[in-house]
Amino acid sequence: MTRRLPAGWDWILGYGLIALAGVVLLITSLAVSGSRFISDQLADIVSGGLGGLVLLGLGAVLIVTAGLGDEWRKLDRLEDALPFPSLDPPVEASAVGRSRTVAGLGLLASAAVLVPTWWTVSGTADPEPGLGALTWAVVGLVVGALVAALAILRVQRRIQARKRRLFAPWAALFDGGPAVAPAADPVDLGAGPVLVVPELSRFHRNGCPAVAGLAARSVDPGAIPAQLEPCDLCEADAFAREERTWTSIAG
Amino acid sequence: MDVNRWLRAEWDRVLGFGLIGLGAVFVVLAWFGVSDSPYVAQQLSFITSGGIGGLFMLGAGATLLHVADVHDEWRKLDRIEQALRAGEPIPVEPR
Repeated sequence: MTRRLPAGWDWILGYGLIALAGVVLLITSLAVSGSRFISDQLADIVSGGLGGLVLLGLGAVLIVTAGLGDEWRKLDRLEDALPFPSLDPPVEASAVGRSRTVAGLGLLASAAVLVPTWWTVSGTADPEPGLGALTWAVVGLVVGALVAALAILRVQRRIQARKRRLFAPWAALFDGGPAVAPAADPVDLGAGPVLVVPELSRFHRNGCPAVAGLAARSVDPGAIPAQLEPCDLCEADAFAREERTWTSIAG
Repeated sequence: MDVNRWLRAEWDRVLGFGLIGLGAVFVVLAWFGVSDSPYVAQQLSFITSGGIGGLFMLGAGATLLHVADVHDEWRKLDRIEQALRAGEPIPVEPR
């Protein structure tokens, strides 16, 4: 039987892990300050201190990716509500989840390094080998944190790029680009060529902000590839479409 | 300005900056403690409580600040979505 986790589980688990990390670090601090043997202290630092930092990292990854996931879903809904087609190529919904997995695996790998380190430190009264092992454990922790940070940065950049593409037509309006208010009269596309961009699935009128900054080429209306659809934003579909209400943001 | 209302609205930023400031203080105090002590056992105690504890506060504070930004963006996108679905003009100003 498959049971779905309730919405918001990642927020709860993330904050729970951070709280648990705080408790573990507090206990570790008390244990270390109460001991006079360096080897015991090193063992406590590896297990509780560095382990607590791993818990903090896992909690932070869960919370940050939960926020990014919420934003991703909001962009999905926003895209549905847009009055014009998005320039966005189809995006897979698992981008945030994949980043979360990579970040979590990076931190878990650094936690795995703690096990042999703790074994080395706790097995001997001589602190010398323990200090060397502790150094490698810290290095592993830093590498794991870097992997997690890069994975999160990657998905964050994808979200920013998605927002740029979604709102590019509006940005073009406010940058003083060509206005795209619907024309009062039907447009005669036969009067001039249309614009086509290889990676887009629509053709556009000259000056359409949807293709601003893209490598577009002019095509005669009679030679428009059959698989291309007209752009709703610049009303390249003025051939046959009915007049539809259009929310102008230009005021 | 209503301070209570501001604190309720910005609790995550206030807590985030507070934790980061406190974490920095912990790290500095740990450094002084370690440099002043000739005993390794005592130095390790300072490293654990001040150093690792300070790192924990810095990390938790940075997480809270990041989440506060993401929440702000989400709310902004939510207002845009509501305006779009209601057919209202988008409440943005020209740059």
